[in-house]
Amino acid sequence: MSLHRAAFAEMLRCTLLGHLRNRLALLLAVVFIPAWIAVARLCAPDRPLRFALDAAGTDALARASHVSEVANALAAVTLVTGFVMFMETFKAGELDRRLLLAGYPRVPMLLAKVAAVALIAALLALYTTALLWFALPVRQLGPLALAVLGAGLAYGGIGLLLGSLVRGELEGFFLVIMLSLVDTGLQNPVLNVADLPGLAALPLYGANQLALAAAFTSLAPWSQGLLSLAWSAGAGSLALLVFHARTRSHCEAGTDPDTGTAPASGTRLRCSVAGRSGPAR
Amino acid sequence: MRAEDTQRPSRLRIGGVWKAYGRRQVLRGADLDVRAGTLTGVVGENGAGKSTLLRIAVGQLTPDRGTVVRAGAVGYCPQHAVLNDSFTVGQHLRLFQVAHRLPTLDRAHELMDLLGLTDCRRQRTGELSGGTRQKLNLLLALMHDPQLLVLDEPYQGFDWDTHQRFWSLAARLRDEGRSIVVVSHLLHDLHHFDAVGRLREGRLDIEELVR
Repeated sequence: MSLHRAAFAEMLRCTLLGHLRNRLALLLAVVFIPAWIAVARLCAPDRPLRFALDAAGTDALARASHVSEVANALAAVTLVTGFVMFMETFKAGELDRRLLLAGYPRVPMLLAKVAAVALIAALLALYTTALLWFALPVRQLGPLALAVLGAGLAYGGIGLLLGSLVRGELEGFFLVIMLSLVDTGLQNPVLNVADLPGLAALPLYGANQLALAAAFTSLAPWSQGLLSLAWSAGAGSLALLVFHARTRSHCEAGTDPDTGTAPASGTRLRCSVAGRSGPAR
Repeated sequence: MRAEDTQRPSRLRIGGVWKAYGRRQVLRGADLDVRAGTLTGVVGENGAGKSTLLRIAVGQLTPDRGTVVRAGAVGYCPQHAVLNDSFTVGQHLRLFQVAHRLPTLDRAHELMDLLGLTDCRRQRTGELSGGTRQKLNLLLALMHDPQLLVLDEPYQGFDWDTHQRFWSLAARLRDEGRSIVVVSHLLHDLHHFDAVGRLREGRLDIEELVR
């Protein structure tokens, strides 16, 4: 197995096992998602609701409680993926920097983190879609699963970004929860704020439109799913940039900067900084 | 510096390094030359810049000015244990095996025996005691048998026996030609060193010691 493949596989394995050991995250995933769907069923009114599906260019008609169940499912998925990815990235940051300094290949490490986000988002999407399938008369299961996957990927990317950006655990939690609450609240047609300008710029817009269309119509505005992917890719790329900036080495310790291999005995690594001509003040 | 030391190859040469955090100037032209087969101590008051100097030495931090020249692989043990609490001891070893491109973990296992870490390979590091975490922290810096070891108070939380075993190991590595830099606060450790650098007002005053 090549070095890069081994580095990718080992990091992915450790990261996924680390997630499995995170009991709070597991509890959130297994219990919170169905509980939050059930809350919507119990609390939302059962009256019919006509709401605009801008992305499909049409209106849809469904029970308000059913619409709330879909909205709550997406909210729960965004919270769980955002929280899980933030925690993992935040807790692993220092060791990741130490590993890179010791010579761990950078690209496989980053790819393993992204692959872990994708796998977790996919598992959560399957689980949540199955729950919705039991709870609702879903019109199109495939597009609904993709919409939930898109929501998970978008907030997984945001979790990665916050995990590499913020300095304190509490700040990260607050930002994930606040962003998810605002996003899912404004996107929920039952709350009747669908005409608010700028909604399309929110991370959940594409996934929400695709999920509602898939659940309650025979239309599937696939392109809306791409919006979530764009959010995921954008946040993920920013996270990688921050990670790259934070793990820059004055010069790579123990490796030859040209080849990435351990230097031959006696090889010297010179790192000099011209800097300012006088002391910093 | 003794005449025989100057004939040995230099493993780490820090020249005129300056570093400030905001307006606080920590290092003001610090110099350090670590030759092969030497054990060098770095001492100084709290906040004198010892850890900053070591982080610059290993490439983790960029100096504002100055040069750092290193030869060969480096093993760096940070002051507080840098581990992932969700990973087991064994997972840490495998990740660093990849990082250091080691074909086997034989040396790591020998060091585990030496430091008394053998029984906790399957344990998560979050469940380990402070001293045991510090042992793993040190082991990760030693497991690839680097030419240059940069250790920032590596024995915090060690019991007395492990503390003594650490110094025996350091002396053995020095005798085998490795270069070791250790930040220390403990006066009774000074006799282990070949040279001590006292960090005062951002500069290192080197004092040769007779063993």
